[in-house]
Amino acid sequence: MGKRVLVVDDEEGIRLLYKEELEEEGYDVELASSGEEALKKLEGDHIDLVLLDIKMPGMDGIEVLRKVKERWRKLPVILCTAFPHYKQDFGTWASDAYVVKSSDLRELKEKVKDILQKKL
Amino acid sequence: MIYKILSKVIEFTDSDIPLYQRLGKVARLIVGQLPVDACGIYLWEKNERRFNRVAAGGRRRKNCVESYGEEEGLAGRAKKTGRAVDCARKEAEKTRWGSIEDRGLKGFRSAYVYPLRDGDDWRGILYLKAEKNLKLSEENKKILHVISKQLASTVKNEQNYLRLKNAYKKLNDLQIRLMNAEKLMAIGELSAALAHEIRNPLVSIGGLASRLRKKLEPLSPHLHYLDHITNSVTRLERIINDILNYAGKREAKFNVGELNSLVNESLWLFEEACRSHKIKVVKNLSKAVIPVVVDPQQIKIAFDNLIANAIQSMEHGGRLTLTTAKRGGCGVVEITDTGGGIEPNIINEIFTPFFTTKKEGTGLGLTITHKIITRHKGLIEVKNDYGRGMTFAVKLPFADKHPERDGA
Repeated sequence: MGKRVLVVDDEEGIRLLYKEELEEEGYDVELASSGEEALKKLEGDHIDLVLLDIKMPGMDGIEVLRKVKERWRKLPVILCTAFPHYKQDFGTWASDAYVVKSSDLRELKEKVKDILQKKL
Repeated sequence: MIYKILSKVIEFTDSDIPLYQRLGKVARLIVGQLPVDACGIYLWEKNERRFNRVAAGGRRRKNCVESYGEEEGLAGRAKKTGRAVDCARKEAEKTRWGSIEDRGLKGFRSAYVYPLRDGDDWRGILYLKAEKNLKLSEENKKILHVISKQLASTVKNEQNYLRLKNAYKKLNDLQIRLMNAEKLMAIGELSAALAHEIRNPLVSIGGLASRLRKKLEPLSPHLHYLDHITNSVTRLERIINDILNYAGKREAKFNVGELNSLVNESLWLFEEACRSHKIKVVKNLSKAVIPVVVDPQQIKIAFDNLIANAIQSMEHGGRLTLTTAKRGGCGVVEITDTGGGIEPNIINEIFTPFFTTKKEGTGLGLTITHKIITRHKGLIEVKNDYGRGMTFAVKLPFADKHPERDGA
């Protein structure tokens, strides 16, 4: 069975893109459009890795990251954001990787692969 | 009679004309009303520790000495004793009265000197001279004492007013700087919004265009549409990265750099541009080494921007002058163009984000430059000589005067 990746992003276009691209790589992809929805999904399903947007309406990615790491300490999270400055924010240090969004998904896919392989 | 003089003195000292003119009127009034031939008013310069003449009246006003040292002549005597010199009488030809030498006494037989002061605060002296033997009446002496008091308080008010005006100006400058700082904060927020609102859709556009490419046949005639989309998106993403890197909160990495070589490195980039624009480059660089604490990468961006701006202002040729110097604990770079300067009414806007006078400017060049210099705890000053050109002066702290090395 493929690894399950949860994509959390408030932009529909990005969810669609990530889902299709990651499925092509052989992962099962779950989607959530908000932090609240993501936490609900994590309660129910088994997830191997979370791709998390930072800037979302309602609960933002940094808060979600904290909640995730409190409950599922070993679950890897990759922060994906449009804004590189968050890299200096202490709140993001708990993530396993940090990717600045780009239409070129190679970096993101590399990081997903690396982290899931390390976990094995 | 007394009241007439005093009311005139008050009228003159209270008027709106400049201080020295008011004092001049009083000096002329005194020689008009009293049998003296010269009346000089001197102000006490605290820093120089001298009395300097600022007004004089009377037929022989030219014989009022320009300036007295703290212990010089009758002025020095008044300063030392704290009291009026009343009165010095002597032979006309001599310049000496008792043990006191005073160049101003030549040709006069009598002299009176009144201190202008309140308490221990010296404001100046009132110096009267007569060719003849003159004995002023007690009443006249009293009038002169009152006039001296009035002059002292006039000078004091003026000095306080100037101090207030100065403080007000400083406050005003500070407020403007604060407003600039706020503008720069705004641009930080703006670029965050820019990143989020534009980059996200771009990821969708570019990413989904790539997906479409995979669905098309390898030789599909429609592929070139996707090439256009992908290229455009890539370009836009690069622009956003540039803006964010410039405006961003990247931690500055401070090191000791040398001002002349930093300027040279920036200038080198523009040599070709100067040649093609027929711009003569004048290098006025200090021969001495000027160590400054800088993040070389950032400071070069700042210099690049200033040089590029200067060149862009001289489309039809001109002269670009680069000057470096050590001045007042700072390394100073001045970049001067002959591009005509900008209209004085928009000079305050030049550091505002997205303000530009150029057809193809982003309006971020000077904003970023300002931000970089401020981050270096430096200062950037503009001299706009409208019709001729502009000078941007950047002041950076010396290497040994920059204890804090973390980014601001």
